[in-house]
Amino acid sequence: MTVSFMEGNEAIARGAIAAGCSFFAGYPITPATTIFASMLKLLPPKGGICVQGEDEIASMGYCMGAAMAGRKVLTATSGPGISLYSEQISFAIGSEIPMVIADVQRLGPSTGSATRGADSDIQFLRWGNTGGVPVIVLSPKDAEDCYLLTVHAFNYAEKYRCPVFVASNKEIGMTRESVDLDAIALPDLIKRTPYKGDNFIPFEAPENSAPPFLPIGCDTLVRQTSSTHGPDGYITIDPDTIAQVQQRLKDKILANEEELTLYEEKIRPDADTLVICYGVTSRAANQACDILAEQGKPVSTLTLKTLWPVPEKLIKEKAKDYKNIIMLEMNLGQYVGEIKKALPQKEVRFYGQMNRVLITPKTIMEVIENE
Amino acid sequence: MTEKKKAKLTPVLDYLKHEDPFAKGVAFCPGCGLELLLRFIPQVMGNDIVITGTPSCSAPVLLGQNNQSWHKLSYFGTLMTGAAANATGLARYYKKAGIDNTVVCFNGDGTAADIGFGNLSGAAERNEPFIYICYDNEGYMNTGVQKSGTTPYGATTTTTPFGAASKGKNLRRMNLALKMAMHKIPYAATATLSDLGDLAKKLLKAKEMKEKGFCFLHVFAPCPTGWGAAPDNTIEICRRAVKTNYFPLWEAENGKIRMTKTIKKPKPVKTYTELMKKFKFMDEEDHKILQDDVDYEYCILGGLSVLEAECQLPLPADE
Repeated sequence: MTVSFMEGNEAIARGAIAAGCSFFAGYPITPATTIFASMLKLLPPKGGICVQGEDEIASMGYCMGAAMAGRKVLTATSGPGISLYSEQISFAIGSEIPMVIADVQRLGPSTGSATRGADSDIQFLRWGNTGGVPVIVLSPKDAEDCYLLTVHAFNYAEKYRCPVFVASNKEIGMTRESVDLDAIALPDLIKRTPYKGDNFIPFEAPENSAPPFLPIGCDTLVRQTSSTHGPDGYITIDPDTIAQVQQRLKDKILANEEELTLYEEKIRPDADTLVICYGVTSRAANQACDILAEQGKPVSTLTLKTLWPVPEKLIKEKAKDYKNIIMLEMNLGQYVGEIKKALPQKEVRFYGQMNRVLITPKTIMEVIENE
Repeated sequence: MTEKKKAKLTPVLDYLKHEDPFAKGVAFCPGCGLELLLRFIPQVMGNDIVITGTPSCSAPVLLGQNNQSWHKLSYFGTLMTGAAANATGLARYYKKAGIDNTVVCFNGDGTAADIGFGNLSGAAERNEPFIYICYDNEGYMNTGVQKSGTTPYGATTTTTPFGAASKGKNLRRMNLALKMAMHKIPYAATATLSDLGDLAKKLLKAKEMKEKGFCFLHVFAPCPTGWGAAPDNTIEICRRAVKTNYFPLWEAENGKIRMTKTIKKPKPVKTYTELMKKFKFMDEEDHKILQDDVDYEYCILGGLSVLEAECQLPLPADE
């Protein structure tokens, strides 16, 4: 056992290394810069590549190129950088280019507050692509999660050939805490396995899955386009082919909702209230509920680690026995709508705060007790 | 510390026709080159300029974070990606409406040389009627000292560190001012803080020349915090940058390139690099590469300025 004192950003970098990432590109932006700084320390000694772009668009572009050359890639930014990534996020979705994007969120809109946290980008990450294609977004609550979820993110990127986001927050990314990385049980790594059969058809995939991968520029001819293409990779205007491709891009994520569902829960048998939350807020929520339990007022918590695709089945199942549902967010209510959609029969109460201050356990206790 | 001498009026003070629009106690680090520049510009050009800027070290001051540091200038805080484009919008409108405003688009080298270069180049190519001033501290200082396109060879930054796998920046800097001059704009110039008279003349010339279109000023402005330099050495660093030809002072007026200060016997670049820690890991070989780079840039500039007679841009059609 080796306990380290590290910030969430370093844990993301270490998670990426553990997942086999060998390429990083980024552009300076608070509060994500220390992911770059960590990768710069970790990656080159292992023979990996670490590049600073002239802007976010370039950094994202390097990652896409390196991914198509066959590498596992990571980039890291904050909300304003996601804005600039956006066009290429669409490209990565449409062309099924695997990559992991760490978004260390800060208070928006726009430049917002560079050094202040908020879960600003929860809907933006989901909908920030042309076409509205589903994406995978994971939400860590602490440094340990940053490590673990980054490894999951790389696995999902490989399996579903898409960009996967780790939606961290300044408060997690730039806060040091004790972590024992060796004690964290990691999932089995999904390696980048090039297609071995004959007749490589670049975008032909079984139902609800991603196509097999071959890098550009090797023995088999691989061509990639950002435009609408059929299974053969050629640009197409055929309505049926287009419809099939669009459907598969949607299904490969949504049909695998259960496999993509990561969460934590603290169920208290006599509770009639369930607090649902994600990210750094869940730490305060759990603390608040611990205190209430000591006072003889049991409240359960459900911490979502997968935000997109929405783990609807999980939410329905976990919430079914509770009279009161409370949703907490470090924004003005970006995800509560998804919870309401999943629980149409229930009244979902919401508390959100977006003023650069963390929601405290005291506030959460007041919210719960004002039932 | 240099020995204190009795204050003597210099010709520089004659250029300070307007009041310093900044309140006392602004939030810059001690010895900040940017602060001197930011206070100097409106004192020379007037407090009626419309200044635009980006998230950077200048932003907390120009935006008066929590009202702690305030000034009397019109200010449009824009994004790094679109700095010159936002200034274009303002300047185009003022021109069309006949409003006599001087738009000064004031950005660091990260914006000018890297992320905002595309629309800086576009504004120059379209000859937009405003002044773009790049204060060059050779890196992204506000986010914690990362390298930029103007970071010189050998400099250590947090993204070009010194260690087992890296020996500081192993690439040469770009010459932003020459690149801008090659856009064939009415006025491009370099300036620095050790030569304030030269800087003042260039600011006034830019104000005059912006009637003809786009003006670009590249001002070398050291960052003692990010460079590992003594705060009281800022001006000396500028002086030596000029005396070693590391940062030569020149201007291109209507395409005519002219040295505004010629150094007869340039000192070795080492006399400049020794003033700061960012170059401390450089060995002899690294210094040779940096010296070669400085010599090469000066050689290009020398060639261009010698050819000045044949190099004049045709005047705009309306003149």
